[in-house]
Amino acid sequence: MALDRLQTVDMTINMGPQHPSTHGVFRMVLRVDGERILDCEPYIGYLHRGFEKLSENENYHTVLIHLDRTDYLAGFCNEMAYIIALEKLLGVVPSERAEYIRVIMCELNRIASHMMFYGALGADAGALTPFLYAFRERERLQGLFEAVSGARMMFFYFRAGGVRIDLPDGFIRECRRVLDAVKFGIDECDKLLTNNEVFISRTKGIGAISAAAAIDYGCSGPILRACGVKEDVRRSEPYSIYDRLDFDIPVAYSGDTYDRYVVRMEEMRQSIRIVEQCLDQIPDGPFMGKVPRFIRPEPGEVYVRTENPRGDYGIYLISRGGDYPYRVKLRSPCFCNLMALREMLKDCYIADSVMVLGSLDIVLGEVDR
Amino acid sequence: MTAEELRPEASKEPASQPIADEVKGEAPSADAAQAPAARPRAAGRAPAGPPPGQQAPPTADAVKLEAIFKEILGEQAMKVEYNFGELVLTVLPEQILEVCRIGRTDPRLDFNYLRSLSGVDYVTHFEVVYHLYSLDKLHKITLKTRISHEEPEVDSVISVWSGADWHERELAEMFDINVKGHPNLVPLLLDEGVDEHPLLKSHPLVPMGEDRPGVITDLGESDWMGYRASGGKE
Amino acid sequence: MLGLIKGMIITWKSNWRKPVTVQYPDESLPLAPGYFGFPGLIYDHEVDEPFCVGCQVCARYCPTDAIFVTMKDNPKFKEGTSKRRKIVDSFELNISRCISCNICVEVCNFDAIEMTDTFEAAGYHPDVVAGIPALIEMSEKQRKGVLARPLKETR
Ligand code: SF4
Ligand code: SF4
Repeated sequence: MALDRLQTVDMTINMGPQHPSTHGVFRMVLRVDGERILDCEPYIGYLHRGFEKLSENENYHTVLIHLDRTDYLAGFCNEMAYIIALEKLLGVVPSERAEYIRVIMCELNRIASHMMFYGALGADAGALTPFLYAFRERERLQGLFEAVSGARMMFFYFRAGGVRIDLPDGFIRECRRVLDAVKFGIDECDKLLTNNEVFISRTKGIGAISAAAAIDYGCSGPILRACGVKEDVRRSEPYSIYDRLDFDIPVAYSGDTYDRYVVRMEEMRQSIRIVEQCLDQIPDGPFMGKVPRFIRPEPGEVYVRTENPRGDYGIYLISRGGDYPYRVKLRSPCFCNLMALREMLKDCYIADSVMVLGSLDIVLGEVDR
Repeated sequence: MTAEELRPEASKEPASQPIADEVKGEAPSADAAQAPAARPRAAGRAPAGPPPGQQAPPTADAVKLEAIFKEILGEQAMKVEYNFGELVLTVLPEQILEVCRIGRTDPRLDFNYLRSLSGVDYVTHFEVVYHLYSLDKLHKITLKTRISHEEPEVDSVISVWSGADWHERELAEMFDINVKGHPNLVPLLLDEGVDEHPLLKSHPLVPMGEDRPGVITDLGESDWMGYRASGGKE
Repeated sequence: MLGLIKGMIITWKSNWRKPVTVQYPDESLPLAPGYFGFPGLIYDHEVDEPFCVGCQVCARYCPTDAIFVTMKDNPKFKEGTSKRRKIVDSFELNISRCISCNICVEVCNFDAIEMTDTFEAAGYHPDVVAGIPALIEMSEKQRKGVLARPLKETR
């Protein structure tokens, strides 16, 4: 029997819906040729809670408690987007101090979220130590969140016109102390993975996507910046006080897993820079602007985009009068980034698929809403 | 083609109404303002002055884009609005694919980034909203199209932006809108085989404070502190 | 070789360091000052009754329907010892449903409810309900400063 008459067939294998390294309840069906992935079909929706429908029955502020639960790693950033949309509809200007408090919390949240990414990516690569280092840093930040908002993850802290409560006494001093520790921690994390030979060979050139494809799929955030597109909502459409702050946008050029990792590491340092500037500049004054007693925006609609740790986070808010939003649409960055997974996984090995998915840093709560 | 055709509910209005008047008189009808699930006290006060979205003057980008679109499509084909100074174009559903393609390919427009694609159910009609952005030129536009409840059909723009894929699948399952030309229109977020379209305003949503299925509302006689004191043995 | 010695030194040092692990149910880490547990009812010691008049505003706004309140005529108002015409009859907080969101505190017009430090709700019973005595006790415990700590001691 001649060997050339043996035929190989593509095999379809299923990963998930609860694969331990898939960052939530996510399932993908892979068509493989041996170890090589030919095609991938992601299946989402296992965490769908009907956020958009539920918010039509909440008053304008209570929508926030659902938003905290969509992207649970970046609650402050989500609230920021929605609150800006609400303020625009109401015609309310937030107080100066509140703007600074918001930006401080958002940037700290960005660091905490990227730390989670760092730990999870390390774990995906089979290294458990980075996970513990990342969580040590994240824990320090969680302490700050807890002191400011009263909760560790579901903050419900921002309000139209300001924030719920002022910063606690001694926050600025404590925050500087934590930032110094985190700065040291980031360097330490950097030493642990960035130049690690095994890590580099697992990530360099894996899951690459071209800039054109990334734009076509609507990717945003670190995924897009890793392809060499210098796009950051904080710069291209500055919201809140970002136009007064001095920071760089890290860009990498090959668009692979390693570059996404490097971009995020640098973003954490930039976030620290932003927070330090805010701590220097933060004015005294009221933490709440002038807001009407009843939150009833006039009919209108607004689309607001902000820079979430995961990318371009959009809120499309429609009011037709009354106490309830008519429609809240959430443009989730992970949702769009995940669409590009198919493109990235082509010609990868099965073992790499977990790494590529980890590098997208998806939060399924936000993808499924 | 007139602007009246753009609005399925516009048949009640006199046909001779000029476009400019119509754009200004865009007050929501009283019955549509009430979502089915909204509680009766939701009625707002009379608004004082124009809403914040209309106060801002159009930005320079928006004026430029309007001129370009007018040149390409002609005066009559669309309805122009400004929302927070940004351009909002409403076009006919037959045109939307063409307008999107022009927006993507025309070097002056160059809308290469589809930010978001959402559907809205306005009870009288659907609106499909495309938020477009140009990463190179840094300008943005909101494209809208209106489709009726009787014939919920819209063209797929997946050939223009691959990123429209999941957005359109979501649109189809949430609003029961048929997205023509989409290669794989299976439910994305909902269970397979669920024949419900949750984001329709006619879809029931049990208001707060009422019994919902699967929720324990009869609290019984248990006392928390006593229960804790007993070490959870009761 | 040098690296080995270095490693041994670190191992030796951490042998004598105090453990950072806390044995949770027996001892717990300090909570941040603004920490939100479950809401509790504030007690008016002057009149010897809770501030809450049972107006049900919190129950209406609670996003998870965790609160159930009823109102009754205040017997002390007839006696003339209290200025409250109505008073809370029963106040039930379903601990297993509360998400510690602070909305009830914000909407209360009488400042009768506050967030407390109590957050441990684990149990075997599916729906655990705190009545008025339990809620007042939670609030009083915090009032005495048992759990409130300044920021600098947190972690
Ligand atoms: S706690 Fe406040 S809002 Fe709730 S019933 Fe009592 S008085 Fe009313
Ligand atoms: S804290 Fe929130 S969930 Fe808990 S009882 Fe108050 S309003 Fe309800």
